[in-house]
Amino acid sequence: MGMFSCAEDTGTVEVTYTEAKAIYFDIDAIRATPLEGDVHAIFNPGKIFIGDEFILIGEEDEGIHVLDNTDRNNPVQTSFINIPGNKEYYVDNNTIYAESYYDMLKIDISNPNQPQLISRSKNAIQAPLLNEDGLAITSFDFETKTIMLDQNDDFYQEIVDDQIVYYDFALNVIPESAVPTSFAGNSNGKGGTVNRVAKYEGYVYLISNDIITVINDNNFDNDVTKIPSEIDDMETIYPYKDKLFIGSRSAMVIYDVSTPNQPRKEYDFEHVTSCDPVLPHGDAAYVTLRSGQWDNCPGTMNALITIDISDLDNPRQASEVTMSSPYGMIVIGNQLYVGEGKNGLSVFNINDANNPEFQRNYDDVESYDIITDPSDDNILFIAGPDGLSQFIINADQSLDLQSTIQM
Amino acid sequence: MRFILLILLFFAFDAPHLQAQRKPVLVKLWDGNDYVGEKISERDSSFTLKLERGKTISIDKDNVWRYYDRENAIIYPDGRFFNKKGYIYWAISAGTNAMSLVQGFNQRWAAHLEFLFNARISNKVNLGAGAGWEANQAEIAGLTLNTQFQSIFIYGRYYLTDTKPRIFAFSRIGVANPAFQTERWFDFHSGGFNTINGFGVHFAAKKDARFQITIGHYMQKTDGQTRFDDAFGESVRTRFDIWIQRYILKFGWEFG
Repeated sequence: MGMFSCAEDTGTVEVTYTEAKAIYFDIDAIRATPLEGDVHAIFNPGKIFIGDEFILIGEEDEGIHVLDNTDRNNPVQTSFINIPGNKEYYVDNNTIYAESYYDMLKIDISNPNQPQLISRSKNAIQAPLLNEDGLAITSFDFETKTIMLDQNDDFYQEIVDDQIVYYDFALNVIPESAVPTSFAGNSNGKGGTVNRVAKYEGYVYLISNDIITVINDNNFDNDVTKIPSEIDDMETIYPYKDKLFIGSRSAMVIYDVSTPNQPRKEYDFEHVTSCDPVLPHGDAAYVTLRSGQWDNCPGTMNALITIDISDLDNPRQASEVTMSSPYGMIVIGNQLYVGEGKNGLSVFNINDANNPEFQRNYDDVESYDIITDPSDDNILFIAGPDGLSQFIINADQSLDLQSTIQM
Repeated sequence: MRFILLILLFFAFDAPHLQAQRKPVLVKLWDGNDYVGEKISERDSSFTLKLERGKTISIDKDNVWRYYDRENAIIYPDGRFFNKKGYIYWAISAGTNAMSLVQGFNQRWAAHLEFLFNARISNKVNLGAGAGWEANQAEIAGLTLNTQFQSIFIYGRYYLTDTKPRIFAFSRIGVANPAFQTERWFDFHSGGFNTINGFGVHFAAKKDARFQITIGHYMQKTDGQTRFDDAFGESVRTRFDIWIQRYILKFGWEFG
């Protein structure tokens, strides 16, 4: 045994990590929360949706702010939709599909100020994690800890290899795979073109951990299918033609959904690990790879990559443009707008869809996510450090600030 | 580990040799022929050998390329030999974590490469120096670290036997610098003192290229830090200060 112990590495390792302790609530009481809430300031903005005359801004874990944007110079908060535990939602015509802890909600917003719950698909995301009192995990308390370990400890094993330490009420470690993605991180505008909920041909798709959840919109309460995705760290889902484009931190994957409730992996474009929004458009799919802030986006690559998807059975990388810090992007006409955070807003000409040609950079417009106005191509919404700003794109391509919603 | 030591002992005692002959001689001629025997007479321009099977042969000294006797070599009946002293030789060897043979190569793997320049100080003692490259996957409390080092060292070897596969003990002491490390603030390690001490088997050969196997206990000091991101997007920061330890099994060739 002595000889074998001489073959073991020895020493100490100081580990600083974030410990997450589960917080429990009565899930039935949460489900009974009325949709109509009180208008209040935007504290922790999340997902943003631009409607014809209104704007929806997610309040992380609480719900969605509704703003009247009839007057672009002065958007006004008019109501708040209570959706406890919400981070991601998707708007299709007058319907919001929103996650709420373990459930998916279908909400009619024909009148955004008087939302109506159409249906609740209970446990669509997953079955609640309950304690012995029947209370469900709804969030976590985070605490930074530093510990010193030596070769005889195995605690470290629990917090590496993608296994953050989750503790339940009895201080039992909860496997990461058991925790819905919505319980972690945030989905705010700084995240870029990130979207974990999408709808295609009467089916709602939700990505969480390594599961794709498919809900039949015509039988929202009961018809839920779960498909193992084969990829980890899924961040973005985007329906295009009869495909789903899914971006993860290390790959862009195309799923065939010609059979909508049975997504089938067709193509896997692996890249270096980084944050990678994906945006299909025409015969091209644009992927931005961003690295640098190790906490959120590991890796060493910052680039705009174009995948030629003219033949969806045989996609190929068509081009790669080095960038500074690409976040979200949007296509307006023949121009691709890419937010580069503190490095401004870059614009590419995409007349040749597979070879974006750099046109200009607005270095004074700090941009993270970019959203178009569905009714006016000359309006640009940009999520920046001060909030959500509306710009008019002038004929000479200059940008005129109309208003900023403080967030 | 015991298995490996048993192999070393087996080689140590599987050792017929020519030490019984009073004056063993190995002669290598320019034409490529080798002769092993006992020198029974010598003149100015030639000498006579009594070969292993009793025949005698007279050899013109002008035809001799290399001449070995017991003063400068250990000679075996089949023509294989070891140089005893006086020659500087170099060696190259490559090895891995011996425990990988037991535990599997996916755990705490190692890849080592070593270049040696040694002098045979005596029949028993070799001294020299060398340089190496060592890659080691280390593990402390579940933290897996991938490290690479460039090392320089002094080296000593002592032969324990004169058997045909000679057993030797060796020691190497040096320092290492981190290798192939980009200047990433979140992930780096230092170099430091390193040493390997162990035993080896050196196989006699008919030419000046000899195979050897060594098993040695490797120690490398290093410290540094790494970072990971967890599922909440929070960073996990680590600082480590460790000794990498393992038994390294190496295979090599010695020339000269």
